[in-house]
Amino acid sequence: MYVYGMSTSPNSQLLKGSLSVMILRLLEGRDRMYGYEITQKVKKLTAGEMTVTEGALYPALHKLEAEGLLTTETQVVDGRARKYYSLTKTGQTEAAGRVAELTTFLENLNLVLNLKPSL
Amino acid sequence: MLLTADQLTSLRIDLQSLAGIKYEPILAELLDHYATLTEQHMDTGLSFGDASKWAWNDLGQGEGIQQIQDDYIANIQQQIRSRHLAIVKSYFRWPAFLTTALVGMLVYLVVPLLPADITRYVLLAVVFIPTFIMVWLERKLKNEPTSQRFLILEYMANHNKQHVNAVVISANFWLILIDDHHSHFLQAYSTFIMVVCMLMVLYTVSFVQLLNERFDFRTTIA
Repeated sequence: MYVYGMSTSPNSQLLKGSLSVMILRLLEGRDRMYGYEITQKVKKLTAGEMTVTEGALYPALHKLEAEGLLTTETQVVDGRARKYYSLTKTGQTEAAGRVAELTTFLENLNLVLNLKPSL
Repeated sequence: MLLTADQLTSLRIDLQSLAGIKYEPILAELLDHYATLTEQHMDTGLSFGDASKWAWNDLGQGEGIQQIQDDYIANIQQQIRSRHLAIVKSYFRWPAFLTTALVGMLVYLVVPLLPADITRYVLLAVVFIPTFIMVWLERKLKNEPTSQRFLILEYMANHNKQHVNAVVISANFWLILIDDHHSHFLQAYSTFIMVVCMLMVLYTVSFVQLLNERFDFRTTIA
């Protein structure tokens, strides 16, 4: 199981960089999402194999917001304020670019990892 | 299962007292997350007390939650620093330098035409302007405490150049000891002080502009 959290294990460090791309990708397909919803979506998509902790999620969301890639709106739901995130115009362009970049990286990584010993 | 207002208040108190969350934007966001987690656990049949304990654990407990706030503060502080630098850079361009030079020249030409006493009093008044602006700003921020204003206040406390103001102000008190025979010194000194004060006023005004910027709360209310 992969955990996007505050751990400093090699796995966690390796995965940390891709969290923002995951968030951008999730928001690409949706109008808007809130924090809890994102954690649940990742869990569901990966059948529980991947967990995004709150300690990793919110800093990543705030950083993307500061970079101008996400915009937010707050709505009162069930008696409390809920902050929804959505992609800005720049965010939409950036999302496509970052997803393509990560996909290419993973394909190349896969090629190296699948290298047969004889080669 | 939806939480009652009292239960929400209880969760809010947990975040404030156990994790030390004090910034409203992060508090509201975490409260929603904490409440949603608690509701999920209550749906499995747990009582509010047990469900909130599990939710607290899921959320990362005190230390983990504090880390979220620390990251939030670091993020906002970074934005404040970048924006302030951009504001200061936008001021210190050739129009500002030209105006400062012209004011300096004007002072240099006008001072010999004024009685020395008047010049001394005017200088004493002028050097207080940056300090007055800063004191007014600090009082304004303290009277309207929001998360962003509090962080700007902290930033100002670390970056404003009040010690430079203090040096300039105290240096001016020595003018009282200078008699009217030192008119050339007074003329040159007045010009120098006026230029320094112009630059300091510009720097101080940059904090006023910073105050009007928005770093959090950019969110719209639906």
